[in-house]
Amino acid sequence: MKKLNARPLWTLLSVAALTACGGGSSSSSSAVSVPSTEALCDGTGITPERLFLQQLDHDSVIIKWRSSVDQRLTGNEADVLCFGTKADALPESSLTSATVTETNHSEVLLSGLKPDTQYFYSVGGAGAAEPGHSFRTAPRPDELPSDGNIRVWVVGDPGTASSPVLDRGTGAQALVRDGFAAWSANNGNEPADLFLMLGDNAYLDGTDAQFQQAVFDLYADVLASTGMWSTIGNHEMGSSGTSTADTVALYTPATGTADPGLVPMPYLNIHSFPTQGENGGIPSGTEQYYSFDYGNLHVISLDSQVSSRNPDNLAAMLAWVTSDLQANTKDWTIVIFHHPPYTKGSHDSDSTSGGVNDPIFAMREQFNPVFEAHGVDLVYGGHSHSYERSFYISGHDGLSTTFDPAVHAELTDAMLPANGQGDQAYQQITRSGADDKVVYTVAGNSGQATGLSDENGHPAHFFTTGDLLGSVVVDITRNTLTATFIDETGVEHDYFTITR
Amino acid sequence: MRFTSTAIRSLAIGLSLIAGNAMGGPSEGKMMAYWEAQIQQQPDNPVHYLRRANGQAELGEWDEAFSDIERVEQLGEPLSAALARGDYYQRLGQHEQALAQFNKVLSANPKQVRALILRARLQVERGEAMLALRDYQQLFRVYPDADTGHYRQAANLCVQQGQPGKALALLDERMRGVGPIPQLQSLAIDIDKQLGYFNSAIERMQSMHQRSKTTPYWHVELAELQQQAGHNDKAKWHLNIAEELLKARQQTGAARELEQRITAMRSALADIENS
Repeated sequence: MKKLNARPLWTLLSVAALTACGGGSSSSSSAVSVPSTEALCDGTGITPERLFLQQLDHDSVIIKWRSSVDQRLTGNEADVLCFGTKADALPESSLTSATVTETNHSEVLLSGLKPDTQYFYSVGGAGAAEPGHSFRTAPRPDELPSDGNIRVWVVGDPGTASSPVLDRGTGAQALVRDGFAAWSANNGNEPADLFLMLGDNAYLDGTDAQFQQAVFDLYADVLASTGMWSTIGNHEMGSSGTSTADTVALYTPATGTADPGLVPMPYLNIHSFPTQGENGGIPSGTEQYYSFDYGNLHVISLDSQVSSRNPDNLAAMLAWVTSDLQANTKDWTIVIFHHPPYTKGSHDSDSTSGGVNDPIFAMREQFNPVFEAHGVDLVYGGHSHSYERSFYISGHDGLSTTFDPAVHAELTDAMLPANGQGDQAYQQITRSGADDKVVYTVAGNSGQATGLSDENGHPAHFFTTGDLLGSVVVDITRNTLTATFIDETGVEHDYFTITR
Repeated sequence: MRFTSTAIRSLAIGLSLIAGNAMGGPSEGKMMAYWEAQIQQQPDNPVHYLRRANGQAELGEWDEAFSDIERVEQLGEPLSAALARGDYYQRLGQHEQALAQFNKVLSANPKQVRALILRARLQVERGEAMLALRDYQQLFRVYPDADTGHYRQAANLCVQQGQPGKALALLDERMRGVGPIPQLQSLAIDIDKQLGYFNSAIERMQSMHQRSKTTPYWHVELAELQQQAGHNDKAKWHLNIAEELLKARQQTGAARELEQRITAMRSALADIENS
């Protein structure tokens, strides 16, 4: 491909910021007016093997990509990017050089962007964007997007596409993806604003090659246009999911290879998650757990797999999340981590399974009280390959036999646990007069559904299925949050609403 | 590479067993068949023996694990074998044997991150705080991005050794790289408070001002420190701000607790003024 004369990154970013900020109307959907005399980029656009958006914010985004070995051998790689608000007119002044990481990922930080605005980009620096290579920036802090709704798509334990044996020839992961698309098409065709992955994103060991198959190949369209955020699952630590190591330095794949260098864990080398509160929240100093804001939503990603296994790391993560929640004033708060506090799916939250499931207990006993004390609304986990959704609950940190709906759940006038639907919709301020309850959901069935360990399910759950594949959509407005479970055909099976 | 039909069949069996393993959750030991198949394919590859050994160790099948590690060593990977043996001995509570293995690895490569982490932890278990600290300090030199918990552990070891200044220096050194993150700064504040260095603790709280100044929690913490430092007027000032900020907050359990703390502090300050 033709190489453009790239200027130093900082000058280009400044130019890009000016271009992006200047001259545009305040309308979220209108384009920044590029003077007709302005030269356009004239490189060659490519579609690299992996292309994804990180830290998508109201004024910035990281675009990250890597060409395959074959693409690189044929010169089909790129180290620059152009962007703008018109798909067919990417100005030369937006040309930005990428930095290249140790694992050959190219990344570009675009800053000075306008909030809630559609941008188009070309990897390789062409004057026009390739189809699908566009994104919409987040709304301003505390505001909603112009369509009035933040849509979050949640997938858990999806990564069976990189394991033919787990996939069993079903193409389950792709079916779930297409089920969301079908549901979306029948529900206003609104794309997801956020894409949350609950861990076990690439079986069996979260190697770089497995991430390629199960994440970048599978979700290519979504990843090119939607900010993706994740948490660490047990399979991201290798050892075919059996690792009890309490530091990422001990990542050991049972299949495939570790990354070279000081950080062997591909999950950390692939992603660029915030460590300094770049996207809101309190700086965590680590990509293993972090938080970010999106409009009036605050999202926290915790590391149940590694950090919770060591007392010092657990204490550190607990100190951080407490500070983060104390500083949080957003209307809605979602927490994600891999090991669900309550499950009777393929894992049983009443058993440590010889240590492998210790994090279930650590999260339930030490973190749930913090969530409930600080107004968290939803907690999502995976690990079990099932969908299990709780009542609106608090104060339950014991085994399933100690769950008492009269004590732990929000009740209806008839003193029965409310299911969150229709006239039993939850209020953020509960009957206690405080925002003190949480809906805990297991959503680990986005790549396989493998039954239940107890057919009666967990008593904390209103809805349980171990047989259905699916994913979750969370729709958020100023005063209403609705979470819907949809199967791989796009059919809804459960929902609940919280109002404020 | 050509595979025998037996090897292919073994691999297929192994893979199918992994499927069952991953479906119902780990710990059933079914990965063994997979590694067995791998070993049949490549009997001279030490990686497969090492992986099988680690799997056996997770299952508590120690004799088999050590046997595989023996093979790893025979196949020309003595340091990988030593590291694994050290890990297993440590898990079995055989501290001296574990130490000998880690020493072997670190003699050959003093920058081996895994060995440094494991030996530091072992030294803590052995009650050898100084030796553990030495390993942590070497770890931080070769791997500054080590887990935050390792820094906290090392700082606590310094305090145990009667070296709180060294603990603070260690935490500050790390925070020069990652900023004043609460996981480290809160520990440093606790150490400062134990030492009676309230002004230093106040400075540390203020270092988190950028993100936390709008939280009533931060102002209450600061008020408590100001009071302990004898600055009662400043303490009251922060309490006033905290109260105002709290009014705008959603009612939560934490908010209610904070309200009680504020009331208690006001009472304590009034007592001081009246005394």
